[in-house]
Amino acid sequence: MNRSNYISLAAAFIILGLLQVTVLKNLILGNYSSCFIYILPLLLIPLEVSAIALMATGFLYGISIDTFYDTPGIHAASAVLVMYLRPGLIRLLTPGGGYDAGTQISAAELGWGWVLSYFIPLIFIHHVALFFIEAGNLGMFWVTLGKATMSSIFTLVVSLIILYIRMPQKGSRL
Amino acid sequence: MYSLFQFLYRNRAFLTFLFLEVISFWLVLNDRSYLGAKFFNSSNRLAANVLSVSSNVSDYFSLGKVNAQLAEENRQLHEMLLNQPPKGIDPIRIDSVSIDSSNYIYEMLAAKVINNSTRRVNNYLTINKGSDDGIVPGMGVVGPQGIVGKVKYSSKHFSSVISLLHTEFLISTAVKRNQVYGTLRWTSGDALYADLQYVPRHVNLQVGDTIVTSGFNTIFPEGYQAGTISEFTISDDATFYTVKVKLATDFYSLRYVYVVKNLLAEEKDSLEQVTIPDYE
Repeated sequence: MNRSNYISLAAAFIILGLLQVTVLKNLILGNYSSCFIYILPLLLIPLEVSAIALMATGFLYGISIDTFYDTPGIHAASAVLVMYLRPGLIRLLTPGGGYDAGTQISAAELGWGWVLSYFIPLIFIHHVALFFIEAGNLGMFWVTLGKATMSSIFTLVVSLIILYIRMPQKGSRL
Repeated sequence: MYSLFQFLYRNRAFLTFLFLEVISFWLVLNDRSYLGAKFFNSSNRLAANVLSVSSNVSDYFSLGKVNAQLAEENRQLHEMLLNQPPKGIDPIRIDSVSIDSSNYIYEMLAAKVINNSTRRVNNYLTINKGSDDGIVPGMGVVGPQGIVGKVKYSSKHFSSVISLLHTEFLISTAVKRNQVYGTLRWTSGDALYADLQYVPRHVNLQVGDTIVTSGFNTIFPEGYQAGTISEFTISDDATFYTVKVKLATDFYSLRYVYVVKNLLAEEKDSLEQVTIPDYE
């Protein structure tokens, strides 16, 4: 992971965060499905970053999103949860030969299968935590779970599109 | 001692996790906390400036609707002026010069909505007026069509407002036709409808009855439009009606609001504070 990767990651945090709080906040498909794309840069933090730094980043980023949503703590709690589970899931998904030093989380290096099995559980857990903490009780369990599921699909699709667009094209690399 | 440190070090990730989650949940549960009020809400200067830039852009898409709303509001005001009963023969009474603003009970302040949510369980708005304009938490907010909410926090130039679409925001209201009191409360879901609670069964209700604020609180002026009854039912063993109210305010197209300052609020509240304990 070199310096320019970190800069583009920082840019992703800012751009996707702003996109989240200005545009996606007001975009809800069919009254059920919202997109929480701000979680994507958190999932793309390089492998070598320590667990504590991951959670601290998740917390600070989550609380910033909360500030715009007027929901102190909700996004922070879900982001910290995802960041806590992340290293374990990555260990679980270790490919046959292990991770090479400096491996980046991308479809080009790890394949779409890996990306899917990494994104789906984490995005789903994040959204379930988010919607249930927001609801504050289990009263409307199925409605809340439905919202979380529909939103997870929305977020997943947008994340995959962004990953696909950002993927270096074959042959274009010098 | 050494093994204690070793234990802490080995579980440092889990302990950090617990620590951050405890902070988060503390913020979630204490939504009136000092930290929440001071930093983590949309009246925070940075957040509000970003939101206000984004609303400046999206404003252009709703100009037509805003104009129509303002025209409708003007129509109502003109109608009220025309239908005002003549104030006797004394011409001095209706001379506009003699209207003494020191008799005003309410002051209104126009503000622009720069952020508004309608689809969550508890919704908030952000408006572009703050403590520098004299806004303090607790003031009522009304829109061109009806009541909107109540100021929760205010920073220098912005305020964060609890929307009527908040499940814990109860408003004392009355049925305009027969002055029966009830509590208006939104119970999440559809942003167009709320429930009117605690209307006893002996009351005669009709679909289309207007619900107005009751004036028992000091937040809203008495008699301000809240909505109309769209349907009501009562089961055989229930004490209260189940009433569905179509809200007067269209929260989807809300762009400008008025903050209501009740100049007598302090007097009324402190009087009630003094009186009520005497009965207990």
